[in-house]
Amino acid sequence: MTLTWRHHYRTNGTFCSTEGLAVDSAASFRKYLTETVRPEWERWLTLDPTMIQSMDQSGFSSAFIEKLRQSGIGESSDTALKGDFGEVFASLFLNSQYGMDFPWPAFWDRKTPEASLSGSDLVGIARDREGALFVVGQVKASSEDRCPPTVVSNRRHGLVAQLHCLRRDSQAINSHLKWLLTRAAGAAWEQDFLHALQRVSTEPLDVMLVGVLVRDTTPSDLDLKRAHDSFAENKGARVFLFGCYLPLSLHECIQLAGRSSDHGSPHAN
Amino acid sequence: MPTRLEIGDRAQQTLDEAELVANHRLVRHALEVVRIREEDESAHYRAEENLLRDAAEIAEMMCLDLLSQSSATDELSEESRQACEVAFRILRWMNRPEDWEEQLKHTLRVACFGLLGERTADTKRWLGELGEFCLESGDDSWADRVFRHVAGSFLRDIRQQGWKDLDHVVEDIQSLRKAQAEYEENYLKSFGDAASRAALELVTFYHWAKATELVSQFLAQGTPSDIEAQLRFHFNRSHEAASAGWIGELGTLIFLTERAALVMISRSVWRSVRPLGERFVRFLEKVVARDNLEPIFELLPPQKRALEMRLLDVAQRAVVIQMPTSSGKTLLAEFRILQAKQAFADAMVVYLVPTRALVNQVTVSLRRELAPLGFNVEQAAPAFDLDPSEEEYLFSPQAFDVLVTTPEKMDLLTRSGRLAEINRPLGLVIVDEAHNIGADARGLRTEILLATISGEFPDARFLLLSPFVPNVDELGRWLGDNRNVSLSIQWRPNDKLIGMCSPAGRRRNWDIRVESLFTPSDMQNVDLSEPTILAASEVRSAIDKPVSRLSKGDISAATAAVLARRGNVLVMTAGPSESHRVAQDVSSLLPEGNSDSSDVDLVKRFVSSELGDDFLLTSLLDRGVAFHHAGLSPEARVLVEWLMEKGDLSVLAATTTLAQGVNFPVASVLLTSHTQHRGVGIGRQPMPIDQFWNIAGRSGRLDHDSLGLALFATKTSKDRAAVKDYVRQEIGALASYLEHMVDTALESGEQLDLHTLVRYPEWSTFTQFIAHAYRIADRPHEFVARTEALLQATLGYQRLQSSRPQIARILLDATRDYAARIQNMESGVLALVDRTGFSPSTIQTLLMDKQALTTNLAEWSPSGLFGSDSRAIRDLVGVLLRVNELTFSTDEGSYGGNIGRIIASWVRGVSVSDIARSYFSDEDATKSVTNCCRQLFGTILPNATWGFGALQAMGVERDQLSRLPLAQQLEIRSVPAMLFYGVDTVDGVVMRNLNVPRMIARRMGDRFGGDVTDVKGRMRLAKEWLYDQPEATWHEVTPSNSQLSGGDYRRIWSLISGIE
Repeated sequence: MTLTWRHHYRTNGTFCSTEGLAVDSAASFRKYLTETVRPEWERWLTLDPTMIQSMDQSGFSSAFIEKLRQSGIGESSDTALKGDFGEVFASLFLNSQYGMDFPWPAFWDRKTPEASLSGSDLVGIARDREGALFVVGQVKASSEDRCPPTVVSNRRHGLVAQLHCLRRDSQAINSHLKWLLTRAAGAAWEQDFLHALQRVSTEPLDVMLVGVLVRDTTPSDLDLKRAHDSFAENKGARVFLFGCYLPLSLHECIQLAGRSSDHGSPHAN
Repeated sequence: MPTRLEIGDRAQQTLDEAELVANHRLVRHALEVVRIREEDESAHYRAEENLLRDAAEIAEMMCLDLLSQSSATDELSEESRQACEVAFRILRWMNRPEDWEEQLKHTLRVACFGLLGERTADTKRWLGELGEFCLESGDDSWADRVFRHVAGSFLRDIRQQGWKDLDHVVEDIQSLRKAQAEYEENYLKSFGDAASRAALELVTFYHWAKATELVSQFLAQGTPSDIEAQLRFHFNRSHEAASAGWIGELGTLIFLTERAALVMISRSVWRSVRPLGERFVRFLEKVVARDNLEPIFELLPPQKRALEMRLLDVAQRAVVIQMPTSSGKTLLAEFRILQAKQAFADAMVVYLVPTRALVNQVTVSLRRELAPLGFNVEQAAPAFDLDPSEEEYLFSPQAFDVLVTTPEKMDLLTRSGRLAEINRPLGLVIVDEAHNIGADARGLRTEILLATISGEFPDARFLLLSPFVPNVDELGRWLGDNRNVSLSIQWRPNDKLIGMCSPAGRRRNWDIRVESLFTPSDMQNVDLSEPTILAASEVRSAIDKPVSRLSKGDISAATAAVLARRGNVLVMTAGPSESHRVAQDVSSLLPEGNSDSSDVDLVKRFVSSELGDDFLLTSLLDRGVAFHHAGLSPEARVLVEWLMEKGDLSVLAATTTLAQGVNFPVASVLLTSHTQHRGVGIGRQPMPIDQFWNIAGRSGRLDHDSLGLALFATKTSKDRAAVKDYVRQEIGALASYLEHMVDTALESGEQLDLHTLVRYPEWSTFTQFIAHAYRIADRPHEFVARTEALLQATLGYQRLQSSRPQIARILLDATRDYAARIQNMESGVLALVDRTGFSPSTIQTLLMDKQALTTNLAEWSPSGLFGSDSRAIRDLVGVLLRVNELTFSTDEGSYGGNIGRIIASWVRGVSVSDIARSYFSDEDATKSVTNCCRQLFGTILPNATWGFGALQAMGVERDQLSRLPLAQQLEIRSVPAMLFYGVDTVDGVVMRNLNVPRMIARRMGDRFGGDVTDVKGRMRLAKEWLYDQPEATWHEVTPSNSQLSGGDYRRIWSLISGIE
């Protein structure tokens, strides 16, 4: 299903464009969370039973992992859940509103389980007049009252700092691209991927940077104004900033979109 | 299959610049102990690091793109291989990350790219330098621990440091399985919601662990037979788990390690060789056996390529392989030997090498590998004669499976009909260093020998090996008659820097500047954009000269002394005198007690007892320095080579005598010049370029050195310009020496009249070829008409026909004229040509001069010939001096009138130092011994042995000889061998043939004679007896005043024989 979004603010510049959008209908949003977001989130996290069963052939025991698959374990922090929800939600939002594809989920790094690898939450494919190009996304979710929220302004880990970092260092996504390169053969996204790869290997700045802020507060252009200004004056890869304002609290969103308790969801209660 | 990435100018420039940086880092690393500036954290260094990082990203991306375009089981494309090699070269010289996990991932990437880029030796050595891979930390999570052990195990699979590494892999993976139950649950529980992905990461690791264990198992045992399918299964599962968890970086590593694992399997000896049959399997079991100190689990890339390119195609008659030095030609030769023996169990294999030293080395090496399979590997002494014991031994039934010898000896065996008499199929003839075919008159003899074998043994196969023969196809066609495989394999066993060195600095504050040289592209020289400076602070005070007054000798000595700190240095000099000077100069720059090895002391005492206490070499050895040239006895040369090979010498100053005599590598080669003395009247000439590359190819020890250095010492800009021009030369196609002979004769205005030209030794060889062909022709009356078919058997005629048919026609006409003359000769003359190695003209001349031939058997007895009255021997030498084929050159000193006395002294056991004092006297003892050795071993003994054997064959009737008692017959027939070995008894000859040092050979022979009286099978009996002798016997036969003990002599015997 698709959602209806209403614009609250919009600024276009040469190097940066910013939009603030909100969903007004809580009911349809609830439905969207359960019917669209939830299956996507599950797809990201499900353990395939045949994969676990074949593990015994490695000489290692599959017993505990199989138990984990069947029952689920552990507790998860609020921050981590918000992060995961934000990423899943943002990828669906960018796809439905701007035609960007994220054929692969966010990458994972054991060492920093609460943050995705290399400072980029999403890597996907966007399109412009020259065809497919890579889109590199950074996602933050916040219920904080202040504008902009800390997740945007924090000097080290905030959205602005991370996007600047990605803009400076075009190689930050290389480890993703290398992995995708080894998986592209025969994939539905192979041609778009190779086209985007040719573009970025010719011109490292030929990528699109996207920052998505997911909020359960009243829409305010102050959330992204300073961020916009900081990119508007500097040359580099083009930056698109989005503020997504939800009609439900993030806590409720996570409960609705999270996995059901019979699958052992840690955040179902 | 090109890369799908757009590599624009900017990216290409990044790659090019990064390669230069990598080259500099390689050189700085290789010369670490002598570099002038410490590595610093300067902005320049950081910029270099950034450049390498950028280039590594581009290179890795290209590799992954190319690799992902084919399936894991496909052969690697050339583009993929090249891209991986570039990635390896760049990544290897990046700073390794400090974080352990990043470091391990980086190491895995470098190792995989090295393996896929066919830089196997470099990769293994690099991994060897890293030491332990997976030291656990107390902070490790379960996943950390699993990753450390699996990654470390995979690196061990690649490194393959003997059984230790492979055993370690199995133990490590087993221990992980045991620990899983204890650690896994708590680890996963700690992840909360991310536990699924953490679990998927573990699943990735577990399958990777199994695959790693399987690789290790297969490398060691060749099982399971469906290894590829099993690896694909586990890598696919590992991949799927990484994909499901979107663990990107790990997924890329799994992708790379899968490719690397499959390449390891495809190169494993089991996969490559097992399908070839039962003999090969038995061979492999020995090659990988646990008691083998250097087991081989994997073929080198060029070896695998040679197998893929039909090296062992039974239909092919000739296989010609051009492969660089140190790329494993010997193993390929062994495969061909196995194949020949598999085809015909009683087949004979002949292995031809150019020098006496190589006869020993190759025999030892083949014996080590093939004797366990029950193959008898023997050598025929490189004298131009067969002594009776050797003859009886070699030609007894099944005496040898493989015979290692020189082309000259093989020529004798072939033309005398002895080889054919054995009545076993000649399965294979291997020619090592085959480029020598075009080098000189000796090369012509090899060419003609091969042509003769090709004609007389139609089932014989040929294997020609050389590091550089640009026209392998032509060579293959020559011997293969359209049933040939010609393999030209480019491979780089390690990086090499071909450069020049010169002093740099002001006044007395100078260092050594090293610059790279431009070489032909296929030589793959390490290119440095700017010079590197080697600190000479520790040697310049000893030299104590300002830079302007440094001689080239000073520069050579200083550079050699500086380089000696990174490994042994071979200094190539223009002649013996220069080698003495350089060795002395270097020794003064090295610290005292530089070598305290007991082996050095042993060699020192041997040299001292054989060549005299005051011979320069003895004092140099104390400093770990030696020289090597034709002015040493053969045994001394072998022992010096042995010390150099085992690393007991820091510097060896040698002439090109060494270049053909060794097949061991050194860390660095320094050339004092690109020219060398080419003989009296010729003076200094540039060294043939293929000889230079042969020497340069020895630089860089496969297991030790990341960089082989070959440097020219230069002083002036003129020097430098000459060297630059010199190394730019391409190696020319292998031509036949016959072409050169025809050209030389025609250029000098001579008619190509073989009857006249036969006075030159090389033309004598050619006429003997014609005479032999006529003697064995089925239809002699058609011989002249079939001359062209005979000439077609030579490479020279084939080449002339295709490039200069009019010259070929002249050669054909001249050969026909000569063939017509031969038809009128008596058959006895032609038989003697084959028995003596003299031309028909020489034989006719000698036969006409009846007085020249000693027909009286009494005069051939050793006591008569070598007794105090040397008249008989002088008369014989007088005859030999008139023989064109023999070249008693007397360009050093005037010993000419004393040849008979010198020979007699030598046979009677007079020491070399005493012979030198008596006949080569010079104020400088070293010089007189050097001259003596050069003439004695280089000229007098080879020529006299050959000449005496020939004169005996002509003068002594076989019937007459056979009427004598057997013991006397043996004595007379052993006379030429007595000359060669320097002993005057039959059993002494037997002992020398078995490598007993001359100083005790006679006594040892007497001792053997006392113990064993059987005359039949004497050589075999002697061999068995000698091997059984306790040290006490060696003590008994050692003179009481000897500097060496019986144990010392026993050791030297075992060294020279290759037993040790």
